[in-house]
Amino acid sequence: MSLIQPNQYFSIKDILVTEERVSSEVRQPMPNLGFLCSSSKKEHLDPGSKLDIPVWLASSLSSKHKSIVSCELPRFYKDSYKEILHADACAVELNKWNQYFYELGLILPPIVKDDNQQIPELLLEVFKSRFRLIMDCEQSVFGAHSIQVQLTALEKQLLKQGNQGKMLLINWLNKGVKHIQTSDVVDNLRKRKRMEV
Amino acid sequence: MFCRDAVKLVAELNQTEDIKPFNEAVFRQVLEEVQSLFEENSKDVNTITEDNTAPKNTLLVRHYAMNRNKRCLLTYLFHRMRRLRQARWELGSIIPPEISKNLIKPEAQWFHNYNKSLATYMRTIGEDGLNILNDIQPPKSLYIEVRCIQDYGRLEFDGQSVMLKKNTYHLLPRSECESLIRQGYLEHVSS
Amino acid sequence: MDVSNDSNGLDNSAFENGGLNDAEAEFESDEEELTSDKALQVLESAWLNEKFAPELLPHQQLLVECMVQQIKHMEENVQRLTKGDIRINIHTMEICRIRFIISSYLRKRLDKIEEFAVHLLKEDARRSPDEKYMTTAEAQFARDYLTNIEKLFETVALQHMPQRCANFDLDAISMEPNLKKHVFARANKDIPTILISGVHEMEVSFAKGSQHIIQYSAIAHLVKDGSVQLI
Repeated sequence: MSLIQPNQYFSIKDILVTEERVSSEVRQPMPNLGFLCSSSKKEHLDPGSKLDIPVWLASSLSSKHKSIVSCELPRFYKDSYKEILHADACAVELNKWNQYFYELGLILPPIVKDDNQQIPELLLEVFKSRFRLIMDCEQSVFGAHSIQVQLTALEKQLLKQGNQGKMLLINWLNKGVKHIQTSDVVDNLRKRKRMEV
Repeated sequence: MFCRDAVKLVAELNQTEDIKPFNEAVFRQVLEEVQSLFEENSKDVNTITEDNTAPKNTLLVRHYAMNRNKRCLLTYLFHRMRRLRQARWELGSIIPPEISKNLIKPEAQWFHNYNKSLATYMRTIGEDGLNILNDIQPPKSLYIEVRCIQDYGRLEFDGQSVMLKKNTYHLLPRSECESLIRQGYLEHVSS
Repeated sequence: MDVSNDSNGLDNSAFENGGLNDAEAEFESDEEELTSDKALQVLESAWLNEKFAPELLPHQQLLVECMVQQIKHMEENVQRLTKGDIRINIHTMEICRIRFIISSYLRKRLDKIEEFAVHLLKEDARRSPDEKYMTTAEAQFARDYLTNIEKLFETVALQHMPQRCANFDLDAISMEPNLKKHVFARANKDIPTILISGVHEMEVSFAKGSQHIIQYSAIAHLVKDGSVQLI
């Protein structure tokens, strides 16, 4: 699974990540769009108004040539939050800060034009320490459930893949070669039927 | 904010791997939003003058929103199509009714066309064609022990015939039962 | 009629001149005379390479047709054996094995063709007929796949949108394979210089028989000419 693939047009993950919000300030007027800003009752969006807009809109509106809005890096990539991560990244319920912590951290820097915060290095450091936690949990039987609440979407996916790999290996070691299995599609249909009944 | 409904469709895809009933209501709402965005833009484009270029910004916002809506709609269709394709590869050319009742006509039509193009391709292999969707696992033995978990009826092969009733056990040639196992009629029992 | 037995039960008679059809004859005249053993080996390594390479590899249509023909001969021979002859089981197993490898190989190719259809059609369009990666049938499958998707999109979504927004170019969203992926490889012969690009440019060499994990892009050309086997 690659985060930096060109052409993510049909990527469900990409669409969901770009739906996340960033705080922005309007730089150029936008008539008739006042309703986007829930706090103001004005008809138009005037320069200086502040509102949260989704990343898909922010990235187009804050590009070099246009700067119709200017966006701010979410607080969990800065200041005191950064300190907490430096102290002990594994203890943090990263999921509660943002379930797409890593993905957002990768696509936001060009949008917010924030050169000082060194987001890539932060992401790498956080990921490295938490990855060990995930690997440990994946090996043990009991740890998995308790830490799930702390994990972001990406980490949960890694955990799941780790588990699947482990099960495949165990099956292969035990049975020699896989028995022919019912297809996943049929399995899912059966589960839905049982739930409906 | 624009495109909330559109993202609902994508979020629905993210919930399970199944093909759920086609969400016609939300799909239509998204199309309506696209239409209204377009109409608003058509109105506002006339208010742009040399002195008043601000409406351009609004036009841009609506333009991006329309594209976002389009992207979500096509993504919804795309992933349903890929799941249907997966069903074809795993279950064969007849879709079970639990899935087919959740499809709209164009999707059923897509399935039919895909089937046809697969068949055309497979016919070109060798002189008589080869069904490459059959042998999914490397063969370890000629015969395998199976338990019937769903009534299937009579299975005929090689001059023999076997009645597959629920809860009966059989020793059958692998090539005959591989597809029935995948479809859920038989279960491969360990020897 | 006696089925000539070699170590894996393959019917050698299909490879003697009398039994060759045009495809097999051409195949044989291109390389040195191929025994049935060797052909199966070539098929197996083509299958493994295709399985692990992130991009679609050049097709092996002649080889596939040869092996399909081989299976047919074997099936005919098995029919002629008396029931209860042990050789029936052995040959049937072999037939199943070969059929599995061919099917798995072709399935993997179709997988990639669907995923990279636009890109592959574009690339093949600029290659000469001898160098195309897809067979004619595969290219047709790719075109049909794209046409069907476009039709689905058009019918359900695009025709219900205002003209100006309803254009959709599959080209613009075509996927390309990730050639930077890492793969496991074994060198079939000594290879003195392999260039690895990236943050730091590196040059490595492979000794014959050695195994490595390496970025696919560095060895793509070696996989295609047979110097390296993906495992």
